[in-house]
Amino acid sequence: MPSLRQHAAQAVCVAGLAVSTLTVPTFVQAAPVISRLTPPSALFTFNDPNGPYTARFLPDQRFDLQITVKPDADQTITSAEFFVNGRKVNKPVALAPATASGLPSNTVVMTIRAYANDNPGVHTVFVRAKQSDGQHATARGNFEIVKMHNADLGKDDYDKGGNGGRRRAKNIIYLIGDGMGIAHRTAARLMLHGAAQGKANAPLAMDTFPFTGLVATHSLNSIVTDSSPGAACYANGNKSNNNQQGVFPDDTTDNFDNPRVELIGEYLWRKQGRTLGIVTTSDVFDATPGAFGTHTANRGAGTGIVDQYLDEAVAKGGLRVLMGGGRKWFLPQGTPGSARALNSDYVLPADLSSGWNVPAGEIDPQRDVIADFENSGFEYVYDTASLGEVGKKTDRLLGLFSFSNMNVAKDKIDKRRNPAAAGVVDDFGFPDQPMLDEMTAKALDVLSRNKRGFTLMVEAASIDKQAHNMDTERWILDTIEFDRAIAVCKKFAEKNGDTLVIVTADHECAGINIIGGSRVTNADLQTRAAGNTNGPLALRDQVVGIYEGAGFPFYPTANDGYPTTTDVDFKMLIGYAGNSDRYEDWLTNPLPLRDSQQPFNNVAPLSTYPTGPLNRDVAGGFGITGQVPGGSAVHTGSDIPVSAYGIGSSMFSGVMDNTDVFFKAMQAALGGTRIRPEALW
Amino acid sequence: MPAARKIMLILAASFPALTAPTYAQADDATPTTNAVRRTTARPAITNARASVPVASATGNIAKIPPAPEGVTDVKFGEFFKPIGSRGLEHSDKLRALDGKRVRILGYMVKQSRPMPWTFLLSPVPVTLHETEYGFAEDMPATALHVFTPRNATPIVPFTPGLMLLTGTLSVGNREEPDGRVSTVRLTLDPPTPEQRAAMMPTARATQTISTNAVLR
Repeated sequence: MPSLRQHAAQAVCVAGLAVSTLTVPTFVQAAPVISRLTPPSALFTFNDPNGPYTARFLPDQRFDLQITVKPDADQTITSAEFFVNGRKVNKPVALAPATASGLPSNTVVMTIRAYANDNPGVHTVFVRAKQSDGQHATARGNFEIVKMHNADLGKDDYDKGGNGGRRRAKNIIYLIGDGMGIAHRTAARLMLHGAAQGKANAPLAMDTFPFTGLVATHSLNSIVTDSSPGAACYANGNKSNNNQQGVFPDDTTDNFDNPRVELIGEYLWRKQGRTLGIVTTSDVFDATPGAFGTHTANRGAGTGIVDQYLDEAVAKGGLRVLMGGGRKWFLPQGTPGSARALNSDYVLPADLSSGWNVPAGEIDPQRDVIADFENSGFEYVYDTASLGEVGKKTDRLLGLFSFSNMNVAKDKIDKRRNPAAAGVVDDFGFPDQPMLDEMTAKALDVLSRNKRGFTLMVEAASIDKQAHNMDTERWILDTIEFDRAIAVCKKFAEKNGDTLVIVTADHECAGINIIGGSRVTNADLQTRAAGNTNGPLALRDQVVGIYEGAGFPFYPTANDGYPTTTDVDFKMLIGYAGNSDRYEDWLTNPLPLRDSQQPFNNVAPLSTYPTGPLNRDVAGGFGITGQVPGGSAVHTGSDIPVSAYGIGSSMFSGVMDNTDVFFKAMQAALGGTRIRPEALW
Repeated sequence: MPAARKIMLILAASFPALTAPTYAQADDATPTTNAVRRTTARPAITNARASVPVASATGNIAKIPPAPEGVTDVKFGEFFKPIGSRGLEHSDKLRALDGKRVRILGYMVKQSRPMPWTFLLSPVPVTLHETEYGFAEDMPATALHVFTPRNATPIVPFTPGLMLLTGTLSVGNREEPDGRVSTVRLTLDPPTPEQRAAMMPTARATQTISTNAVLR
C-alpha cells in the first residue's frame, strides 16, 4: 500500500528547520518566498521526490496550477512562469491578492487554470516568480498522471473481441453509505436477517458482491476526514482539506476561486458524452452530493452550490438527475422557506470562468432555480406520487422532496405503515417522501436513456447523521434502506452487463461496534429505563450480554422489508467509541410529535430525543463518559469497506487509499479489465 | 442548575408540571410478533405487517393557563398552508398576527453554532450540527427565530424540554447574521415582576416548562 508510506524527508526537514532557527536568530526576509504550490506534493512540502504522490490525475484530466508568493515588504510580484518537466506552460497566469488572514498584504496567488497532461508518469512542476526589484522566488513540486491501461483501444477492438477479453464499464454506480463502517453493515445484516448457529441467515445485497476491500479515508489535512474530501476523492481522485470539495486549498477567503480538479462527471461528459446522476437522502447541497457536482472550499455555501449544479454540472458535467432534499436553496429569496442568501452565493473570478469555460455565476439570491431547471429541460418532481408519474421519455429529472434533509427511513416507513396517523414526516410537512431505492430505480430509468453511459452517485446520508446522534435504530434502518437501493443497482447491473457497481462509504462515523445482546425482555428493559438509581447496575451489568450471553438477537421483518419493530426482546446492543458524554437505555428513541403537544392536550415527552445524547434516556441513570468533547459522536480514522460488482470489480480487493477507488473505477470506464467470471456473481 | 441559566429562561412555578415521558414505546403499538428467539432453529421470517413502532403521545392532560390579555396563542401548525410543490405559504392567521403579541409552545433547538441573542424554537426537538453539516439539517421549516435582545448573556444556554414563550411576532424573510434566512420571528417580552421574582433560586424547582423571563 504505497500511498501510506511515511515521508522520510519530513523528519530531516524539521531537523533542518530547527538548526536554521538556532544559527540565524535574526533572519530578515531578503527574497520573495513561494509558500504554497498547487497541486500539493511531498516534493514541495518535504523535499521528497518519491511516492506516494499526493496529487494524481487521469490523462487529460484538468486541474489548476497555483502558487502563493510573499514578496519583500516594499515589493510586489510582477510575473510568474510555470514549467512542467522543464517545458513552459503557455497559458495565462492570473494574479490575485492572497486575502487569507495572517499573510502580508502584498502576498499574491498566481494561477494557471485548467491545465491538463496526457502523458502517464510523474511530472515535475517548477515555478519561478519575479519580484519588482528583479529578485526571483522558485519552487518545485510534482504530480502523477495515472496510466489507464488499454484506454487507447477503440470501440471496435472491444466489440470484435480483439481486446484480450477486456470489457469497459459503460455505467459506473457509486453507492456511498455516509459514515458506514464495517459494524454498520453487520448491524444491518443482523437486524434484517439475523443469525443462527453461528451463521447469518441471509446476506445483505452488498454482502453478495464478489469483491471487497478496505479503504483508508484520510484527508489532505487530517487522519480523520469529513464528508467533503471523503467523497470528493471518489469524484476526482485527489485529497482535499476538510470542508473542501473539487478543489485544492488556497490562500484566499473566496470560497469559489480555489484551484480546481475536474470531476468524474465533467471529464466523462467532455470526453465521452456520459451523463451524471446524483441521488441522496440529504439536502442536495450537502457535502457528498456536492462533491460530485460542484467545486468549493466551503461545503456550507448552499446558494452557490445549487446554482453551480445548474450552471456547470448540467451544462458542462452531463448532470441529468438530481434528487434529494434541499428545496430551500431553489426557492427565490423572499419566498417563505427560501434559504437563498447573499453570503452563500457565488461568482467566479474571470480567469477561472474563462480558463474552464464555465459561466461566471452571479449573486442572485432572487433566482428561481426550480424554474431554471425546468427551463433547461428538467422534469420536476416533489413527492413519491409525482416521482412515480415520471414518463418513459424523461431524460432530465429534478426531485426535491423536502426543504433540507429528507426524513430518515424509520419516519418514512412509520408513515407508510400508518398513513392515517400523524407522523414525524407530517411535522416536517412532507408526508409523501420516497424511499432511497425508489429514487434510485427512477434515476437508473432516466440515466439509462443515454446510450453512451452514465455515472450515478447514490448516497444514504443519514447513516452518518444518525450515527452522530448515536441513535442506533435510526442509522441501522437507514443502512437497511441503503441496502435496498444497492439491490436495485445490482439488479440493473445484472441486466446491463457493462456496469460497475461500487458500494463504499466516505468514512466511518461514531466508532460503532456490536458489543453484545440484551439479556432481558423489552418489557424489562423499559422498566429499567423508566427510572432507577443505579444505571450501571440495572442497564449495564444486568443487561449487557457479552460473548455467548449475546445470543442471536432476532427482529421479525414486515412485508415492506423493514423490521416490524426495533425494540425486540433480547435485542442487539451497540457501542460507540467516538462518543461524547451521553446516556444510554438501549431503547429506540422516540420522536415526540408536534400534534401531541401543540393542542396542549397530551403529555409530550419532555427532555427527550433528539435534543441530544445528554438529554435523552436520562431516567435510566446510565451515563457514559464520552471520549470526545462536544455533544455528538465523531468521524473516526478507521478504514471502511468497499464492495464491487460487475465490470472491473475484481480491482476492488486488498487495502487501498480512497483516491485509488476513483482510478480503479476510471480504469474500468476508460480501459476496461479482463472479465473474471466471478465478477458477475 | 448551571449558574449561566440564572440569567435567562426561568422555570415558571405557576404551570402544572408536565412530568416524566409517558409516550408509548414500540411494544405498545405493535403486535407481539417480535417473539423471543434464542433457540438454534433457523426462523421463518414472519412478514407480519405490524403497527408502526413510533412514539405516540398518551397520558395526562396538561392545562396551560389562559393567555394574558392582548396575547394570542399560536401553534406551529398554524403558520403555513400545507406544503405543495414549491415554497411555504403563510396562513391567514400568521399574516394577521404579524407585529402582534403571541404565545407559542415549542422546543429550543440545540445548535453547535448558536447565534448571539437568538435561538431557534421548533415544533419538535431538534439537534443541529452546523459545524459538521452547515445548514443541511433535520429541522422543520416552521422553526421560529427567537430574539432575546435584553438577555444578559449573548448565547442562550441550551434548555431541553417544552418552552412557552411570549413575544412579538414578525413575518417575512430576512437574512440573519449567521447566514440563515428567518421566515417567522419572535422578539421576546421582557420578564414580568413575578417572573423576575421566580428567578430566585428557591423558586426554581423541578417544573418542566420554561418561559421567557429574561433578566435585564
